[in-house]
Amino acid sequence: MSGKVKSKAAAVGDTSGGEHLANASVNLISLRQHARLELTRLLDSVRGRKALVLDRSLSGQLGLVAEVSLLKAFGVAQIHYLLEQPLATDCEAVVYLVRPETRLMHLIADQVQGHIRAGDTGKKYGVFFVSRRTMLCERVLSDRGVYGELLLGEYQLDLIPMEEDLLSLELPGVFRECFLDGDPTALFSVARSLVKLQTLFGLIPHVSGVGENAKRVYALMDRMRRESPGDQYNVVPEIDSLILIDRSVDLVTPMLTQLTYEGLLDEVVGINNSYIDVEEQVLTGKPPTNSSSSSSEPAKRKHLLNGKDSLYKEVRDLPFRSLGAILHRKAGEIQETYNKKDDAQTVSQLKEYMKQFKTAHTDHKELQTHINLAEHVNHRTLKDMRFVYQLDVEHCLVAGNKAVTMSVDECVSYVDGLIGKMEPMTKALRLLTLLSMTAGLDRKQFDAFRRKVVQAYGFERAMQTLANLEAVGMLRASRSSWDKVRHSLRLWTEDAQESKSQDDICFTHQGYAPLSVRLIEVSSAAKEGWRALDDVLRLLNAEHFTHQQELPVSIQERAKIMGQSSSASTSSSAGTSSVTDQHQQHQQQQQGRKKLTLVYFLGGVTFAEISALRFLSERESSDRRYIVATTKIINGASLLDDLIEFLPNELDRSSLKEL
Amino acid sequence: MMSDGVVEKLAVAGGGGDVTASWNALYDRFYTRKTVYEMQWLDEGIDLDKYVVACAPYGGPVALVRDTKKVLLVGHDDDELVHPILHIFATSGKRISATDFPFKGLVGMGWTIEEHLVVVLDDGKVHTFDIFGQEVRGRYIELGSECQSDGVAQVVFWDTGFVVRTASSNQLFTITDYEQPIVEKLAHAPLSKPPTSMAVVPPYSTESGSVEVLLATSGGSIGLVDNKSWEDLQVDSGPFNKMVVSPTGALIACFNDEGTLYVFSTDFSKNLSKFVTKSRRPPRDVVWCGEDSVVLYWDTIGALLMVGPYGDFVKYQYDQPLRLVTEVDGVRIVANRQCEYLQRVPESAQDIFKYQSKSPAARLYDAAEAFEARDATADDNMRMIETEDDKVLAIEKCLDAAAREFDYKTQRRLLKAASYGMLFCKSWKSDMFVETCRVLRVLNAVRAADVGILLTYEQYLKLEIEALVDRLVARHHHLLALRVCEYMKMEPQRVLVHWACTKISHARQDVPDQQLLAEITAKLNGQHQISYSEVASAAYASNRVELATKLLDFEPRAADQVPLLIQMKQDERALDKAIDSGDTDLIYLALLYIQRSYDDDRQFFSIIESRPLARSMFVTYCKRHSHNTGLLKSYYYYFKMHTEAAHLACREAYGSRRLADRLKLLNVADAFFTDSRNQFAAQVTKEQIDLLRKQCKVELALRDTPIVDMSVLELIEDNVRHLQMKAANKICSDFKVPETQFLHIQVKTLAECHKWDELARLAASKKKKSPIGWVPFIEACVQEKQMQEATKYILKLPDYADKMNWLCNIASWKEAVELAVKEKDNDALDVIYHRSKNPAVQAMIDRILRSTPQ
Repeated sequence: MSGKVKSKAAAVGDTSGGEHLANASVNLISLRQHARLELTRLLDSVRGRKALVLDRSLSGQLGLVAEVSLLKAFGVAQIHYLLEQPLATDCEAVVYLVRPETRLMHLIADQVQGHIRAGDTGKKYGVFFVSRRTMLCERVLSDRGVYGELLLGEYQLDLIPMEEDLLSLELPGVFRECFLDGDPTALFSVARSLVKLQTLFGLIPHVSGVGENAKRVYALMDRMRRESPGDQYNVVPEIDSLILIDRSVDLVTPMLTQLTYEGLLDEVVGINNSYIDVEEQVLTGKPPTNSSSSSSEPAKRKHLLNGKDSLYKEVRDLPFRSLGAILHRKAGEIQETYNKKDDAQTVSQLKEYMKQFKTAHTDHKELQTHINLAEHVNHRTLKDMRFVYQLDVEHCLVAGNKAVTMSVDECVSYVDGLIGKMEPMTKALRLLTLLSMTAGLDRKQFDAFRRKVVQAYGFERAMQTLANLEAVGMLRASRSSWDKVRHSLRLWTEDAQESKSQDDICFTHQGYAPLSVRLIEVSSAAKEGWRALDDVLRLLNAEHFTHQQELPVSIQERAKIMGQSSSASTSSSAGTSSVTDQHQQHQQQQQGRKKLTLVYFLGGVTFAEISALRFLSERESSDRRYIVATTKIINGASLLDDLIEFLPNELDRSSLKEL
Repeated sequence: MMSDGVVEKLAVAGGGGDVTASWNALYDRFYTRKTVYEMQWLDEGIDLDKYVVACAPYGGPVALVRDTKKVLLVGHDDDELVHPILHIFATSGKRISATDFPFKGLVGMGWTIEEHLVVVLDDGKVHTFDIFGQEVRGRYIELGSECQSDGVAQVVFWDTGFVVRTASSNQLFTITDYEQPIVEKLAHAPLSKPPTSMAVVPPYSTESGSVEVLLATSGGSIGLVDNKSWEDLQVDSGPFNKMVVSPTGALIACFNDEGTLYVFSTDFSKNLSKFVTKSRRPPRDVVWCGEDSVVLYWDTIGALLMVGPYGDFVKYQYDQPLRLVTEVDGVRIVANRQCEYLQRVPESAQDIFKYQSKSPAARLYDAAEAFEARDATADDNMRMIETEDDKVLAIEKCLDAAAREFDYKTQRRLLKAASYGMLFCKSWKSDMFVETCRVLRVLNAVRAADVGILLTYEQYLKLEIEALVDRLVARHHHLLALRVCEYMKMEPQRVLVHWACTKISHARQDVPDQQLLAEITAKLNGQHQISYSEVASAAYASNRVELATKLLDFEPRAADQVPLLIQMKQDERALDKAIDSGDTDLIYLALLYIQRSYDDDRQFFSIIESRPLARSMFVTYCKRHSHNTGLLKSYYYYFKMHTEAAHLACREAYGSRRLADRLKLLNVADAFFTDSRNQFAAQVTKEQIDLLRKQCKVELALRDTPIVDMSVLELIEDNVRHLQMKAANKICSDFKVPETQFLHIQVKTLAECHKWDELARLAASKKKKSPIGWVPFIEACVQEKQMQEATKYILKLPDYADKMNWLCNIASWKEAVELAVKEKDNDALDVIYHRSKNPAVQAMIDRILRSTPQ
């Protein structure tokens, strides 16, 4: 028994899988630990051998905080997905982990009643809601008459640390829910996650934001604080400011192809919950052995991509075009290490060499993987004329009349061709909406394009989809104010490769600086904050706000004392340390003194935008560091996929005769 | 605080003698019996003999109902036999309440851990009362038809449940948790005669986790019954007419018809002791005092016998009726004239007061006493405590003994001894002294006869301070409860909320809401975390809806506001509060409730009309739950939202199984689109109807090929694939497909099917200028890896640079070289030379460069 307890404790405390968070500006490991502890607590609350039944949409999320061995240590014998079918299990306890959706409640009720009907009445059931237990769901369970059979609880799995500077709620479909359906449930979750974050890391003194939903989130946060007063915020704030940014303020950026390594990987192979899912040979670079599986699909493999991989951490934010040179240099370095073998004469030299060899060897493996991945991506992008041409179209659209490579008319006929060739709907709509949001469409073009979309993709796929795109403003018949926005925010830099543009976030899209990040950059640098952007935001039809959250007096005092003591220690140590030490210390101090800003994207953020913010954090002239929180990591395709809506088709072909 | 008589009795002067006077040795341990209260009910002439009595543990209240089974001489108080009354007193005899008790057939009463009185009647009905004799709402239970028809003959209570036995079939039923009062039928006991006695082991003390009942059979054995089975435990020393389980549930005391008391382990594997009383008459009560002694009481002879382990015993004589209450650390004796406490002498007190005790604590106490009396031996005594550790131990013992003492003079002497010791003890760091004083102040206050909760220190530790505060407020001692909170540094919210609720429910009807509101808010304002919704609930329960609504405005937590407002039928207010909160769960809850509460949906729509968030969430809800389509439709009609209604009609159209229905609904959609002046959508819908009709015809003619549900371009593609160019052209003109689109789809399809001649013909038909340019042709060929074909179209490109670029890209080196030569572009040749990496091409370029003059 005690042995088991020990192993449990060890399992919870196991930080493996969390190393990539070790250098985080705030202690993100504690967030992950918190999530793990909560999970084990809820598993312990249901006694016996357990079958864990998962809402499929949660599995990726859960995987980021807990591994199978942890679940096993806490009595989980089987893992099932919650499906529309009876649950066959010999376990004495069943634990459901679900989002609070009424549809799922019915599935649970079906399964529980199934067991009872089959005479299997001894089971214990736990239903845990992620991240919130709702009365609506309870009502369904009670209407279905199973409420009394179930132990109900909450699993507050909200912001999951993905990287040392990146948190995500991993809530899919938020943009659609908030902007199209007018269902602000996700905003409530965002506000709750912020309240929780503030109880852990202190009240954030400065809060600002742009967009309607940002305003709502602040109002909710404020209300939640008022609803539960008392001193929960008794920590000296680690985060200086919070910027809430509404995705609807910048829908142009996601529609553009991301051109950082990580961004392009996401565009080409897709990164999901930090994993890519690719064919084995893409990673190994070896041609497939077509002896066994020539007929079936080549086997795919999941590969984890995060900051744990030191090489990846180094190169993921770089423009893909420059990746080749860097990987080449790395290969050279490793080769050099290998070559040192001959220099090693004595035993100690050999020992030293072996050490170097070992690191070089791991590096080599990582490097090989990335060379293969990059090659795979390269083949599908820069080496493909069509991809290159499409990039030109995108850039022509964002650059407007500044672009020299082609005219807007050429762009229009390109989009026309995509639809005419019935290219995948997402791809065509991505450029069509970009066209509408940048160059703009007149009434005639607007109607013509809509008609073409219906004729190409069919009534049942196009009608609701077009209505959705119009409703969120991504497709409309009007002139666009894009030119003015681009101009006043310097969103386009011609010749992005030239040195003068190296100090700008436009590296992420080869000349285009992501609007969302530019807004943050300008507002953070300007004395008057967001007000400096009044004109542009009016063009974008977005309101901004700035609020100060008053810290409790005791915390203010503590913060003051801490501030003094840290400066005092610098002056005393300065006398004893050498010049170089001083320099290093100074640098560290600078780094330490950088104020921390949390940027929360409501409705999703792209990898390229994250890279742009990382660039701003590291820029020497900047006095802030950024951490990013989001409802989900998105790209243009996933954003559009949420808006594309097919009419469910129930046609029975045998009814044709009746006509 | 305590009646003077009591204090007088305890305060005999000199040394430890006064304390030890009441001590009785039982084997190696001491027991003490102290009188704590003189009963206040004496004035009322309460005689326990006439009543069914239930005493709550933890020094709790005493409930009395006239025992109708006792034949009484007709006296002056016979009125109570006609109109029975439920009396509730504090254990000090102070009256708490007297209420009518209009129930017949009382089988038994017992107190719950919450100090609710549970009354079991012989027809299987169970009523629950609070300490003021008011029936607790929602706690009425019926044990079921079997109990009703057979009749309940016996009941045994424990703190969270009870077991009943029916009269003739001896069937057992149990309720194990008052919070979830589920009646559970236990296994059948095959008894021909009623058991001679019954005892219960509560579920929390059994290994199986289910309740276990022990039945003494008339044949002399004992049977064990639980929810699964009956088992005869094969005991042969019965028949037993009394059986009582010890406080921990580990032991059971059994008294047989020969007057012998046995103690067994509850699994009857061990017979731990045997005590012969020779009394053939069974005792009225048998109770445990702790885990090691049993107290027996014969009412007929007024004898109280306490039997310790190893057969030692003490006998007390009484000339008045009494009742015994088992407590966690002793036995409370409630008699007509006084209330006494019988317990084992605490180990710390023994240590200090035992005759000739040489323990450090005893020395410390003596030293302090001597010091008080200005006696020089104080110093000597102190010196004899040698080590620092012993000093600490001595102080701790004195404090512990003080905490466990009822008499406050003795308490004070012990505390003085402790503080005297602290002067000599350098290593004393603990705040135990302050803590002990604090606890004692609380204990002395609640034990005061006016409050009358006889709580020992041991019980206090078990009960915990929060529960004690709850008990105080339940007795309406709000001020004392508040003081206790302040004193023990606890949050006072619960007390204040309970006070406010009581204030409202006890207010006379003519007290205006405004006055109550003012009084309540004056007290509650400025306090964090006050549950105004709880107070509002109380107001609502007292039919003060206005007051409830006003109180709810003070409630900061919407999750607590909204459900109550809904319950109070304050629909719009509930909805507004929910919307304010931004909590979508609450909004949904309010919306659904309101929607269901109106027969006419239009009333519901008019409520949400001016609330946009409620409207959009209502729509979302309907869309996500497809069974609400009808409701959504009436919503769109009501608000004349034609475009939305049209899209809904489209959705329904495609959801139809029959094509005819689909067309009908598309016509509806068309009409709605037209109404909303959405010409584009109306046009597209009309065309779709047309397309479906045409496709239907074709599909029926072709058989087996699904045509219906293809898009226009898919249909063209299908025709081009089969080289039905005429049909393709027809569709193109029927549906006004733009030329560019028509061309794109043809180029793509022909290339995919490798119809190169047709592709060439198509290109030729466009003469020199293609409306989509030549790039789509080139790309289509490249896609199929037909570089020869691609080259044809590359050469049609008007721009030289484009041509060269494409040729190089598809590695048509020969043509590239030719083109460069034609354009006299030596730089291009250079590029080709390096890019091609093809010796033949390079040789060719070398040849050309050699032949042309530099």
